[in-house]
Amino acid sequence: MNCDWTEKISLLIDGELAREEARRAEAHLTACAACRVAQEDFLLLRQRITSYPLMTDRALSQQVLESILASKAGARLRRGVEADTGANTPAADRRGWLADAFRVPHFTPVTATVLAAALVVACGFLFYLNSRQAVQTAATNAPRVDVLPIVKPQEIPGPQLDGGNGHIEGTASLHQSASANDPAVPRKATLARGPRGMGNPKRRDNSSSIEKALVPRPHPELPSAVEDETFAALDPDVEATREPQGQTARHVEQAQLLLRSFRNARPASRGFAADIAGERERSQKLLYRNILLRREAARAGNAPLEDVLTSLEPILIDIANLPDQPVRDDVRPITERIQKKHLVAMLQINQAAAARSF
Amino acid sequence: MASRDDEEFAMFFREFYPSLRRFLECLLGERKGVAEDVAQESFMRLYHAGLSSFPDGEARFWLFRVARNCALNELGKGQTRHRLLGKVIDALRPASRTPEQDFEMSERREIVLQMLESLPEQQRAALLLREQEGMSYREIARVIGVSESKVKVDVFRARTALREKWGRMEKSFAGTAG
Repeated sequence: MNCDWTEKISLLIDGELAREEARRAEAHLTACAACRVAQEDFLLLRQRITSYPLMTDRALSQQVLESILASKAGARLRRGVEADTGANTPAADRRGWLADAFRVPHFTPVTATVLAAALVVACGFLFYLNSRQAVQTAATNAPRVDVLPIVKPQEIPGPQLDGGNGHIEGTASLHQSASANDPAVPRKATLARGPRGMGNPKRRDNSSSIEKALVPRPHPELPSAVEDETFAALDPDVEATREPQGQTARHVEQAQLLLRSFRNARPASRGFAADIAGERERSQKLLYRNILLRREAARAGNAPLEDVLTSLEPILIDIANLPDQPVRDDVRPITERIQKKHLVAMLQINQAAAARSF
Repeated sequence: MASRDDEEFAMFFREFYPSLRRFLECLLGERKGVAEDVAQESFMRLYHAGLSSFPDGEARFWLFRVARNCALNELGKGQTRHRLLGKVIDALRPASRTPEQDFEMSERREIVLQMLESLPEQQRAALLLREQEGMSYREIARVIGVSESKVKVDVFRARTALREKWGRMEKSFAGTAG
C-alpha cells in the first residue's frame, strides 16, 4: 500500500530533496508505517542491485586495454597518410584542434606553425595588458610631468607567464598550462555552469603554500544539449594538457581515507587480513595516480603539491607491497611512519584547502 | 614507451571498466554476453575521441552515454528471439531446486537480472545509474538524454515496480516452502 509521500521517500533516499523538504519527509516517516516499509524496501532493493558483482578478471580487462591501445598505432598510421593527402578522419574532426595539436609526438608543420603563432600573439597580448596596467598605476601615483615614465617589462610585479598562460599575481596555481579556462572543480560540480575568464577573485595573497598549490581556476561553461557524436564538441578553449584540479583533490581525499583506515586497522580483529588486502589494492591504484600527479606537479613547478605527493608515495608503495597474510609486524612500521610524518594531517590540510576553494 | 595520454587512459580504464561492464550486463539482461563487446567498443570510442579533451569528470558521463546507446542497438537486435529463449530456459530449469537454493548468490544475480529486464529500458538504465554508479538525477539526465524530472519519475516507477515484483516472488516462494 502506497502513501502519497512514497515518491518523496524515493527522492529522500537519493538525497535529491532540498533541506526543508527532506526534513518534512523525515518527520512524515516517523508517523507513517507504510512509508517506513517503502523506505526499507527501496533500500533493500538498492542492496540487491549493488550486490551484482563487479568484473574482477584482471587478465581479461588487461587484454581489452591492450587491444584498445594497440588500435591507436593503426589509426596514427592512417592519420599520417591522410594528413599527407589532406583528408580528415571523423575522429580527427571530433577532437578540438588544441587537443590534436598537443597530442605528442606527431605535429604537422602547419599545426606547429599555427600553434607557435598563437603562442606569440597570446604572450604579446598579455604583455600589452600588463604594460597598460603599470602605466596607469604610475600615472596615478607619479607627480604630474610632461612625459610619463617608461616602465620596463621586468619591473612590473604582474602575472607570471608560463606557456602563454597568465595568473593573478602572487599566487601559484596547479594549472601551468596553455589555456586559461581550466575546469577546476570536482566531479559533481562540473555540471554547474561557471564563468569564463581568467583568475579567481577569491584568491588571497597570504594563503599558505599548500593552499596556493590548490587554488582553482573557474571552469568553462559546459554544453547543455548533447548528441552522441557532438558530446565531444567540447569547449574549444579547454586545453589538452592541464593538471586536473578535481582529480588531485579527489586523489588527496582518497589517500587520506586510505591512511586513516590503514592506521585504524586492528591486528587482533577477525577481518584484519581482508581489510589490509583491500587497502593494499586501493594503495596500488592510488600509487599509479600519485606518480602521475607528482610528475605533473614537478613539471608545473608546483613545489608544495610535489612535496605532499612525494611524502605520500613511499607509504603507498609499502602498503601496496604488503604480503597476502600480513601480521602486526608488517603493518606497524608503516603505521609509525604515517604518524611520524603527520601524513593524515598534511592530507587533511590539502583537502580542506581544496574544498574551500570550490 | 607509453605516452602520457595512454597512461592516463589506462588509469581511467582500470577505474571504470569493471563498473561499466556491470552496468551493461544489468542493462542487457539476457544479452549480457555482449556486454564485454559493448564495453570495449565504448572505451575504444573514448580513446579515439581523446580522454584529455574532456573537461574533468565529463569523460565518465560521455562513456556511459555511448555505452548505453550501443547497448540499445544490441537490445533492438533479436529481442524476440531472446525473449523466447528465456522462456525455454525457465521451462527447462530443474524443478527439484528449492527456494532456499534459488537464493544462493549466483541465483540472486540471475534474479536481479530478470527483475531488471522486466522494466522498460529507460527506467532500468536510470535505476542502474542511480544505484550502482551513484549518479545524481541531473547526471543521469545527461547520460540518458532526458529531463531531470523524467529521471525522478523513472527511478520511482522502477523502484515501485521492482518492489511489487519482488514482494510477489517472495510470497510465492514462501507459499511453495510452506
